[in-house]
Amino acid sequence: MKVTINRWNAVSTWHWDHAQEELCGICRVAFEGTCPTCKYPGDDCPLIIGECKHAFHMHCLLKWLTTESSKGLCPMCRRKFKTATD
Amino acid sequence: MSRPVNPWLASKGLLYDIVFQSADRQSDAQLLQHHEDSARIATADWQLVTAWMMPQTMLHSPGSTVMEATVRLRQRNLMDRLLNWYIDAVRSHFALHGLPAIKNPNIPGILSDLDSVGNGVKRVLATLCDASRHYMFPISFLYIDNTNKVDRLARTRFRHSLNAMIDIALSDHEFQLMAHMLVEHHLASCGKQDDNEMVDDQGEAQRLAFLAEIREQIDMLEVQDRMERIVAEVYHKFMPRYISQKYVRIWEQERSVEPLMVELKNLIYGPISRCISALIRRDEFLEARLYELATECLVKLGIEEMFDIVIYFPDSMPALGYLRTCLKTQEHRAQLVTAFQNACQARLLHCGANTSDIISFYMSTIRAFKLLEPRGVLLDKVSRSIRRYLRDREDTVKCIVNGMLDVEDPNTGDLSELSKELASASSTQNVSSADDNDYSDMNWVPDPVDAAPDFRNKRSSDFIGSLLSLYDNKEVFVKEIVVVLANRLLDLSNYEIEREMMHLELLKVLFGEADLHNCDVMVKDILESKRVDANIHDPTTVASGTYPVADVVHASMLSRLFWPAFRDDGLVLPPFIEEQLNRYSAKFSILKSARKLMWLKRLGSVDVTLELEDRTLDFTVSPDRASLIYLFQERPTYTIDELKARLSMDETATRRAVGFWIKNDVLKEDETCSDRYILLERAEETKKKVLLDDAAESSVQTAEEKATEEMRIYWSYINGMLTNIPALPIDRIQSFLKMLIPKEVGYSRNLDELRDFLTVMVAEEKLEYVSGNYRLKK
Ligand SMILES: [Zn+2]
Ligand SMILES: [Zn+2]
Ligand SMILES: [Zn+2]
Repeated sequence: MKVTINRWNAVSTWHWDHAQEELCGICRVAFEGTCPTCKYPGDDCPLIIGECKHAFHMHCLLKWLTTESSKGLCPMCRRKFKTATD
Repeated sequence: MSRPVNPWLASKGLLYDIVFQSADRQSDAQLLQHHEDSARIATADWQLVTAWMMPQTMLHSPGSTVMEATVRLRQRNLMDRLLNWYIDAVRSHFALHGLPAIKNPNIPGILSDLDSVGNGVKRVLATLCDASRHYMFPISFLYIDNTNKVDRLARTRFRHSLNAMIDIALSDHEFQLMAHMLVEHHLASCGKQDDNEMVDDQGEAQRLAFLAEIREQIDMLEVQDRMERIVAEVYHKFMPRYISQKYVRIWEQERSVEPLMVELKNLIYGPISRCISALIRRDEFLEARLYELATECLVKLGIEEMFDIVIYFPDSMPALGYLRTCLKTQEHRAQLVTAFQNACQARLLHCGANTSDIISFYMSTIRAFKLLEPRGVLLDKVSRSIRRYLRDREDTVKCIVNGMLDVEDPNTGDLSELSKELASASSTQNVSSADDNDYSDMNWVPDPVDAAPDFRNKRSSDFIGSLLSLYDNKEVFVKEIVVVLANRLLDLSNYEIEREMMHLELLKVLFGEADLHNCDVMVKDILESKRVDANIHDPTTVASGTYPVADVVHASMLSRLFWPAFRDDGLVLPPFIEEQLNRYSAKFSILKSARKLMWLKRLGSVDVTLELEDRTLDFTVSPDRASLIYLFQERPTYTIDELKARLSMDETATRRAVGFWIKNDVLKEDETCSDRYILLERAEETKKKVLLDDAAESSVQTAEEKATEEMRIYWSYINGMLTNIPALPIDRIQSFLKMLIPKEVGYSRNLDELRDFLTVMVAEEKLEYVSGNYRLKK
């Protein structure tokens, strides 16, 4: 017998590489979900990771940084927030 | 007592003679009393006149002495008194001699034939007529002056007292017997015999003549009212039987009292009814009463049959039309609700019925009752128990959602009507804007008085709206929709999701955008997957360190939090595929930085072609089935344990996958070693093999025969069903049987068993199979 595979429709789920924390430290929603303002996860609502290795929904962090009390610090570790370059 | 040779010419004097002769001979205390009364008045005139008036055998005209005495009595204003005396005298005479004679007539107690009954009645009537004539005789001489008010009043008074006497004397029994027979004859011959046949019948002519005589007697005795009342009573008894003989379980035919009335009128004026009209005045009043009666009977029948009318809806629509025009009284409405609810409890709302059948019955109920009463008050009442029951069923939501999304599922039955409704924009708009306070509705009328306090008339007769309102919140539906949509999206090939997108848009109208947000993400995932998949296969985007992915491999990449929880217990795919999926992931991670894929290996679908020695087979199967058969390329046999290990699957799933290939005659179980499976490079002619084995064959046949024999108890239901609706496809027969057969009998056969049985019935020439439908062989 010879089995020929004509088409293989596979199913997968996508995940962020960075998954130390399941939830965004700001909105407490899973990274693979969306920030409160977005409808669609993934490309539309990306993550941002600081040099301190803390990750957030990008939109959540940007919003945080615009608040006065943030003083440009990572809300988790209170260090100056800088986007990880790597 | 022997009957006269010719019953129609019975001597009418016989009974009378006996009565009045005996009266003459008997000296009677009561009559003497009257003599004494008159003596007290103590005039010779009184005695003279009363002696002449006294009921006796021989009547003779009054002589001049009597007439002169009468004039003197009149002058002394004694005529009233004389009449009183005479009425008493007649009453006593009749009580003593008349009554006993007619109370012992020779009338058969049992309804045998019109002749003997009629004859007996006639003898009684004749006696009464003679007596009446006899008693009237003196009055006609003494109270003759039409210009005299006293005389006119006296005659009327005497007539009244005579009538009262006769009325008491006549028992209903004789009339009933006769009327009974006539009416029965009448209704039984409705539409059967035509006029000529009847008129030619000599016996009939004789009968008519006889009845005409009786009619004369009735007129003379002034008991027409009585006769008519009795005839009407008998009609009351027979009409329901007649109506149900004519209409019961026949629904596709227009039900109407009009053709019936034409028939009845033909009879009223036709030959048989000449008998009846010989007895009663056939006036408009009688016609009106018969009409009313027939109407009442038809409504009652409709009320009793409403459950079946709904089952056979819309074929039964004609039967419904009549009920609609006649269902007017509160009493009828209440009866309909009770009868229908009882039938539902007994025949539908039990564990033997499929949920989808109950739902489609409910939909027919909605339609039928909306036709019956557009306001929906009756519908509201009768559907309460159905709705309550559906709410308690576990798979109700699933059935409804499958129906709306047109999912083919043998377990949930066909409710594709819901998907048609979903697709028609008008109905969906009705649901979303279902507002109680539509002040612009010009056709508004108040709710009927029997509306339940919490009655809310839904103006649209939509099914979906009615079904969604089963539950207080729509969440249950949303959950189910997510599951159904997820399964559908994962079953797709080629990312073609037009239908799902359309469904989703329609569903959003029903449920609102927010509740279906997850579905939006799911649909977007598939659209995005299509785009990414195209990129991954695009040779111009080859990045360093990655390898091209084979054309056959495609993937859906899902945002896991927005999909229902997946069960994926792992699976070892063919090495070629495993390799391709790794390449796929690698390319994905380049396209979407900082993201990676995790494969749900049991999900998805695979198109495979199996080239065997003698045949080539195409299948679309799940990945586990594909992976399993893929292994058989290496070698032709595996044990179950080997398969489990190679695929890294549990035993149940492995056996299910093996079962699939066995069913498709690609694998078979090793006869010498169970739990060992062999590839069938050459198809085995299984039928031939069975034929070789005589014992096996006969045992198989016996089992089949037995099943068919057992099915015969359902034949009467199938027969009845096909009498009502001439041709039905097998799936409708199946769903009817499930619904029609009482739970005490029970019906749990599957479609194949039913088909076997119907095939036998066709072979036995009881049924015909024509263009997909079964029908009774004429
Ligand atoms: Zn966030
Ligand atoms: Zn966002
Ligand atoms: Zn930090």
